[in-house]
Amino acid sequence: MMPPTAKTPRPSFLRTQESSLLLRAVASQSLILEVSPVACLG
Amino acid sequence: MHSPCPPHMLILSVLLTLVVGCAMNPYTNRLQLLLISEEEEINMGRRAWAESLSRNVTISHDPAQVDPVRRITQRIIEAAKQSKYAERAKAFEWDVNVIEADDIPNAWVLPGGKIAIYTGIFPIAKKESGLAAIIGHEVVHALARHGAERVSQRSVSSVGVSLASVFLGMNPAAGQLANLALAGGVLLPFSRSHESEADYIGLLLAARAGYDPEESIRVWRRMSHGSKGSRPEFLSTHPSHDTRIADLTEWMPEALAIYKQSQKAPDAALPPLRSR
Repeated sequence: MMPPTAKTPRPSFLRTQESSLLLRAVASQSLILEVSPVACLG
Repeated sequence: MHSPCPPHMLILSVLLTLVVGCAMNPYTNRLQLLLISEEEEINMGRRAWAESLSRNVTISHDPAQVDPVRRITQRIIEAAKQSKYAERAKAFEWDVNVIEADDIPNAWVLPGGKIAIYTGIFPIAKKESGLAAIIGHEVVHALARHGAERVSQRSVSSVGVSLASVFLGMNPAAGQLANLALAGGVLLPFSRSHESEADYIGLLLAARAGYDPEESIRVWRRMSHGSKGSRPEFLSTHPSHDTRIADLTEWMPEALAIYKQSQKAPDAALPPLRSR
């Protein structure tokens, strides 16, 4: 999925969680599900 | 002395893991790869939610903005409790917040049902039935466990590319290329299928909650008019606006039949943005 927009708060909680290294690496890009890829209006 | 695991045993264990980690979407019959438990997924969502709200965001407490969002979310969750996702809808600790960001026409959800709505989506949604299309979409992402599925897919992809690098002796450039091919050929199409699934089931839930499903098409028309140069669909995480409008039009008869039998919801205009 597209990374959240610049102003979308991106959780960094995964730095400290106990899950595997692999999950930590991939989950930060996967958990937030946005309705639209549009970042700003023209 | 331990003997190395024979290749066929390794392949068998991988296949077994994939089979055990599969589920089927009850609405679309799509097979989903889910390698993390629901509990783990919900915990990740809960931690991410707490951290997101503790960051530099302004949460709206304006009743004119918050009340309609909470009312719509509540109605859609109640509809979900009567749906094929009833058990999960009842088990989730749902929460929704409005974030003051008039320049962001978006909304998002975290696993377990933590929803954020940016005020910038209000002019696109225009009224409560429009916002119901957005919130219905987000509620379904959570119910369908799309977050867990993405984590699972990316884990398998990373392992696959790493194994290929080792066994095929790929150099770093070839590894990068493999990652790009994987993203374009597998991960992005899956992402778009999640979005379509959320559009479809969200449309049905919003209709069951008493919101006019036809407003969803107008929402995506407004989004399309307000968008500035979107990337081609095959490079995007989401279907194009045109694809979404065409899909919603195709699904509309089913949604309208549900809407006709529903108890109609209020459909007031959403508040204007303060910054405009």
